[in-house]
Amino acid sequence: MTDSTRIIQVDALARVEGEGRFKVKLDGDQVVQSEFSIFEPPRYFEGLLRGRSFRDAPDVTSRICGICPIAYIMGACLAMEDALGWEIPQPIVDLRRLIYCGEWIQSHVLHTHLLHAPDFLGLQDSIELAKSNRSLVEAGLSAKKTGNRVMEVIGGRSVHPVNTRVGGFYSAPAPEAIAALLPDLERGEAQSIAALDAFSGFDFPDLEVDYLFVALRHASEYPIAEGRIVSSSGLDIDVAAFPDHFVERQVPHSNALQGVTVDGQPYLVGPLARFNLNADRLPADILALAERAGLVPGCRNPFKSLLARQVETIYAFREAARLARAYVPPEPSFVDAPLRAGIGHGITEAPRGLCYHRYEVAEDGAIVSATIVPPTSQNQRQIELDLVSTVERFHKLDDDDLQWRCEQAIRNYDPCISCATHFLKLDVERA
Amino acid sequence: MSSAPERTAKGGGIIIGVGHAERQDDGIGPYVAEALAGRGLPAVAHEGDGSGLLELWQDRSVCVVVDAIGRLDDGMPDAGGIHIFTEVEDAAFARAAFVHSSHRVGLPEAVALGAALDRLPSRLIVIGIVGVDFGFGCALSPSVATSADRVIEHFAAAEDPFSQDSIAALARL
Repeated sequence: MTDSTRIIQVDALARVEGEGRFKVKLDGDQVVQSEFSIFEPPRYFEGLLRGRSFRDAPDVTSRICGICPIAYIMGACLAMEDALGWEIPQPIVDLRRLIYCGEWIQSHVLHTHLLHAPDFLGLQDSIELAKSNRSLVEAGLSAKKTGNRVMEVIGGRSVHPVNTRVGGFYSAPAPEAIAALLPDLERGEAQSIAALDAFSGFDFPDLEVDYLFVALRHASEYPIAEGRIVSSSGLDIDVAAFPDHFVERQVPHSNALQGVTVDGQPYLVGPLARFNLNADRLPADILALAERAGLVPGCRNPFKSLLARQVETIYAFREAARLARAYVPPEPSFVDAPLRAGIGHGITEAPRGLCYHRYEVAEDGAIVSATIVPPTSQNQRQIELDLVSTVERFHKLDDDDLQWRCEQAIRNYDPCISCATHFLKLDVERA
Repeated sequence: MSSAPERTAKGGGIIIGVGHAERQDDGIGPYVAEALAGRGLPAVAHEGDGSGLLELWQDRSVCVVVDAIGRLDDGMPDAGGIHIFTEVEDAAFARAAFVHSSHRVGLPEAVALGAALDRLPSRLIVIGIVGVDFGFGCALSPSVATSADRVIEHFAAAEDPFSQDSIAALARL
């Protein structure tokens, strides 16, 4: 280090999940080294699944995350049903989409209202936000409660639901239980529109990043649990082709694998990618709300992911209400067909982006091999590059403000490193 | 895990056992809550999400939260030690390591958020039991289980578990 070297260090970054460290070395206005390290120990879920029954995969993989267990449950179910050749009737597909809307709502509003919004207002956390903008926090808590309630009614409980299974649901909720959700869902949409208006007044840092967006795309719906994989470079592939186009690689500074394209390019999954690749699948009035708020298709400002999440929250409330009104209990509530050996793939849109599952099962239903690629793994390399862009764009800020901007940039991703303690150490060296 | 708030009537006292029953000593809260619910007391287990805690305890006259805390090096009791926080604004509560209820908006944040939003019960008491092992598994450490049983017996034996006398007697555990 020289006399002009400056070090900025954050010992505990709140409002993200898990343990990580970011180090950047700056020479003038150029970043010469950037590492986003995840040093939590591996959790070995894929190894845990080997030899177990195919029926165990949804319940075991749901334990990967307490915030988005439905993403893991649904990915596992879809992959197993693909391997076994089971056809799932539309009423079960619809009920799955409804519970997934509940997860999007509770996950998105926790992040937008309580974790990310304080960044844009110069506040330390949601507690300070509650003191200065009580109604916004109250609206977030109310919306989160509704999302949790959807998961409880359909899944039996909001954290790690227990009513889901390969083939469908152990039991179908009573129509009156689903109907009882409607008033809160309708109120939630209205509150979410008001929140989008509030967020649109935030001062979004001026930064454009040249992303490769990747998301699901469905023939007629905004994608949640069905669709083909598409990208902003023209990719359009079946779910089963995911491993032919995307790989995970080990890097020395991180315990988490980094997702890249087969030719080594980083890519972005999550709300901003979904919005940009599927804006025409949103209802026209919701797209108009997005544009009025300053989120237009083609947006490449990572800080506006907050707006994309909120637009998706509005959509999830609307879609959940539509599904609730049309609900007829599936009869039977699950498919249970003969077993066969096979390989299956499943992809859904977790709140944070694509979540991929692949399983090989034996004739007796035992799992031979498992591969799970979560969204934060896929975004990890892009997070590093976003931090480079952020530091280079805002290098004239003093250390405290630059550190704040870097933390804000990380939280653009709502990174779910794990459901453990929060820890991020940030070093910025200026030569 | 029982988490249904409708199991207990609004307005009265409630005991909330916070934690994860499959992470060894983090299961102290659910262990206590389920034992007390089995004896007919208004007690529920909860995974510790702060927004859910606000829903559970607002409008309550008294709320007792039982949760695991990490080993501290500032004079706090050792493994299985019981620490009673009757004033959640005090510095000791702020320093206590509720490391395994940190689902982003955890217990300390829920207390602060509840204070900002007027969503605290009339009286909030937190019983922190020092855990030693938070790995995978359902069994409590022996010293932790002994302490948890003392808390259970205290409330089960009390004529009115939420009375001033009952709460004051917690200090003698």
